[in-house]
Amino acid sequence: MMPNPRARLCSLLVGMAAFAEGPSAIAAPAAPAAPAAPARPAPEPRPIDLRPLPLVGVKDGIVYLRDPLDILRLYPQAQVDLDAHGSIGPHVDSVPASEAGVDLAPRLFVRRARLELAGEAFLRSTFDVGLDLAANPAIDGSRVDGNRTVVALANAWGELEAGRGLRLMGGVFPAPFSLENRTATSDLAMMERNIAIRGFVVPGGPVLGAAIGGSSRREIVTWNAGVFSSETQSPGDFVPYFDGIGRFTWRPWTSDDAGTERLQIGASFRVGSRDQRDADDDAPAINTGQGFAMWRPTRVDAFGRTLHIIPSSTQWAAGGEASLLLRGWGFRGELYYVSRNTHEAVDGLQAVDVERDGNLHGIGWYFEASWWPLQWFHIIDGPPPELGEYPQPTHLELAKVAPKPDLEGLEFALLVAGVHAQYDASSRGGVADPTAPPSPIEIVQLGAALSFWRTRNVRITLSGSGYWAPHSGEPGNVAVVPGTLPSSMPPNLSTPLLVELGARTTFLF
Amino acid sequence: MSTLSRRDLLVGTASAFGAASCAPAIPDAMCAPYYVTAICPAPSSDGAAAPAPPPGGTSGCELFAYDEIERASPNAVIHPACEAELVDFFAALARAPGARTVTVRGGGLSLDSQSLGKDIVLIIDQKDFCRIERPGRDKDGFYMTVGAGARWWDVIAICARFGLMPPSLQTGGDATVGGTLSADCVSRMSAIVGKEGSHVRNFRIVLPSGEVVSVSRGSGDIRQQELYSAVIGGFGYLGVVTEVTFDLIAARDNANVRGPEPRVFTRATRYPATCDWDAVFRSLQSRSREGRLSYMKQKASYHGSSLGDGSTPPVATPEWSALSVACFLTGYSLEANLLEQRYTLDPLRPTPGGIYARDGSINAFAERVDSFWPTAAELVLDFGWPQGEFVDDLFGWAFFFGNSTKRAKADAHALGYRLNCIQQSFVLPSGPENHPPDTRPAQRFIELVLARSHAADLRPGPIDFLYVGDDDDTSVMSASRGLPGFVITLAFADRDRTTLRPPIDELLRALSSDCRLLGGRVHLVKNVAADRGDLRAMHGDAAKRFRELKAKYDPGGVFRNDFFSRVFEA
Repeated sequence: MMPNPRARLCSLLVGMAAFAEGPSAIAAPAAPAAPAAPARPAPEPRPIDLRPLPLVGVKDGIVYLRDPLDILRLYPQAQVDLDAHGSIGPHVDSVPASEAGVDLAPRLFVRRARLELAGEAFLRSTFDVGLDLAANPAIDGSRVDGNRTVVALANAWGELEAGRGLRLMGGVFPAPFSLENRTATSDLAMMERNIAIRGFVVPGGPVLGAAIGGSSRREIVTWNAGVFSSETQSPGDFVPYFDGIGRFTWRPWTSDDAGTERLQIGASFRVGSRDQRDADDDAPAINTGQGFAMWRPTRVDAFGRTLHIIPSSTQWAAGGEASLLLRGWGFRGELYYVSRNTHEAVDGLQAVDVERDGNLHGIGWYFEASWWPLQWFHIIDGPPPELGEYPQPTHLELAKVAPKPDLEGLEFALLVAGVHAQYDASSRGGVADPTAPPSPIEIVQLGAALSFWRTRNVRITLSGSGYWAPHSGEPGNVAVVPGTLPSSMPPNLSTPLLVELGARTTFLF
Repeated sequence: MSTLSRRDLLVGTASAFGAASCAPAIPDAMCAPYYVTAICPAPSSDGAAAPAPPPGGTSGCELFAYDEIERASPNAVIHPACEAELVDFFAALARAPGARTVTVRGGGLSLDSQSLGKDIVLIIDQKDFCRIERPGRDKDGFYMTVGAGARWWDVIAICARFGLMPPSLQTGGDATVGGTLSADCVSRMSAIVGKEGSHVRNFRIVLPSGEVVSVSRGSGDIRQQELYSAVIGGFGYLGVVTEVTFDLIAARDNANVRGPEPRVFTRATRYPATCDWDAVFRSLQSRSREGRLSYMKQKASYHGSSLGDGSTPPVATPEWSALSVACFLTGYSLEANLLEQRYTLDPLRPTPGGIYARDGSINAFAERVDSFWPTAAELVLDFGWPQGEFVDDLFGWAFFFGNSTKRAKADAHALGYRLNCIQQSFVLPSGPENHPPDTRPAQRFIELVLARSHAADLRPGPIDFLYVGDDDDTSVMSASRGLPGFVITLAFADRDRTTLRPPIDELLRALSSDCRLLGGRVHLVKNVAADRGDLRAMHGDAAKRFRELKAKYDPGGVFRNDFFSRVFEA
């Protein structure tokens, strides 16, 4: 029952008098309030509409088409990312795109235009096929080729569901490795995945294979593991291999059944082998969020020949993740050890030549904190995006129920990430190259981002990241920034830093 | 537990107990260790040991509901030995100082708090209440008289030998006849034969005044009519039922002659997730009506047959005895099994997957795992309950829920946790019985179940559909009285809960509201999670009538239970 307005006014006046004149002002009892208006009976709720559910429409932000028995449902979707990129740092104004691998000049462009068709068949299986127009393939892959635009397969998978707890997924989709890798870029706080994960731990794009996944009730435990036969090192460019990859998570604490506040830990592994017959592509480069390659899988040897560093024999990686989600706050971090055996081959002879056998190994890690002030101050209730659960089959329930709060709010995020690796060109055999002793690769990324989410469909992000490669240009670190590229004369060794600034507007339907 | 109040009670009633005419003397007020069945003198027919008390504080007088969520610590738990002792008990109670309340409990299989109370709990499980008489036959057909504390497993063990079965039988072998009468249970057979209450010929009841009344179906006496309509489905709110006589139907030829126990033939027809639910519901309703006509024909064949002349007039057997749709989640929707079942003497050809196995081990495993990994249970149902025709053991089929749940709970207790089984049923209207059914409310309700479950990230276990007409449905508190329709039951499993898990509670409340807005009612027999306004709208008129009868037959408000206290507060 609403309080009587006159009584409220009276109380307010008394309160104001007390504030103005002291407690004596309220010594006298307040005038009796007028009798409360009789409570109105609650209106009879409206009966539920019994008409058949529509065959075409929009619900929960998803466009759908269906047949009356739901044998087939189609969900056409689209995403457009409009980006502004810019770089700050020594020599960024002078290094040409052909040398940097990406245009370092300020620019506006369509970073991604994606058309996707998701759907459900027989209410038991789901599928998703997406095509990306990627304007900077170096970001989505691990090659030094950020200066072209490609149209490539982003997703192409089908899934058979035996319920939430068990499902078989096959096709092209992100490898089940690492929380960050299993999060849609559009859900990340930063504009792109950080350099530790995207640049070093999972440098490729989607993989081709099949995985069995599932979860226990309330996703206390989830599992996802499979075998994969190729990986995109650049959008649409599949490199064959045979890897087993898996990820497992456990939530030892949740505040409620919905898991709105929770602690989650997890582990991922991948192991596989590269055969020279199949693998003659370069090892993955370590690219920044805007596509600048800080470590490149090529070098010039003592004879002046260009050598390619190529994955060879055993490749493995393993590590863990932890995330803590509290109201208005999110903290997460991951740490992985990566070991990639390599061999070196002379340019042009990659398919047949083996100069020496080496290894690239090290750790990649990051920690990110994000703050949602509107949620923290209890102004709105919109939940943050679910991280680590991409790709998820699209399923729509058509019956009308109260909608969940949509994704809305402001998000501030801070990130620190690092790659601490070493490349040893001849650790496993062959004649050592005196110009290539075991070489550390040291990179630290500091990032910050501000995002404004206006529903799940529209988002604006401002982001900045500084990539610091200590001792770059010296034997102590073979990672490079524009100022320490061999072509940068004179090299700037005192400030081995590249700062990337970006802005993005995302439309997602 | 209040020792003082128990002593008060005993002192106040001692003289009356001493004068009790039956032997043995009334047992001292004692605490049920856990299940009432654990202290019932009749051992389990299958020799299974009584389940161990669940961990987490079940000592003393703490009693649990079958969902192992609801619990109560009554001041006293008493096991009266016979009807005369009950009479004396109420006389003593009337003289005892202070207002005392009494809750009646049978096998303790009520899912919600229907058999829990705070003061005195009477458990009807002693030998005199567990007697089972041989089936008989009179001009109204076959019948059987048993004590209210007789367990259905034991009852079937007797009557099945004579080729006779109760027309409607719920799925818990440990449930007592008095308990299921008080709940007016719906069963798989209800689509054809109606609810259990309609097969009760007569019962004896001890009213709080101490008066013993014999109540007969179809009596011209207003008092008996009122008691018949209010005690059946009344959860022991008016008195203590001590003896029940109910109809039986022939489950084989040569019925009422000792012979082989019938088995159960099942024809399972699978409907995919993308089935036409309108057609499924129409089929369910039309087959139910056909089954009912066949059943009425069978019943008519019993009538007028004389007893004692040695002759065995031919008895028709109904085409089908049970009809239901058992659904389970697969992927994002429901697959449905239309189950048509009848008694047979054909050789066993068990349903794969052990769904109807007597030991219930596979189901028990699925039930336990369902609380952690619902997909396992869904797979068991998907693969273990295929389309086809099967012949199963009578006891495995009849008590499949009780068999598996009993085992699952025992296993869970052995592993150190309590297994919570939660079920709620909703009656969705289908329009007048003699018209083509309006399946839209039931269809929309399913859509809402799926949508709300998905939104809450919940996976209900089995979801069952029945068609229940309103013929012979006279129980005041029946959810389907005057409301022929589809009964839809949702089940969930959980563990170690002391209250319903909030998302499940919210889901059931929301669905109760949906049910109301679709013109239906929440069934009061199982768990009930519903908002007061919805309960008032659905059951307000019946509750008003029930209160009037309560005021008439229990003016002192002696009989109470936590469930009705909660529901009637609405």
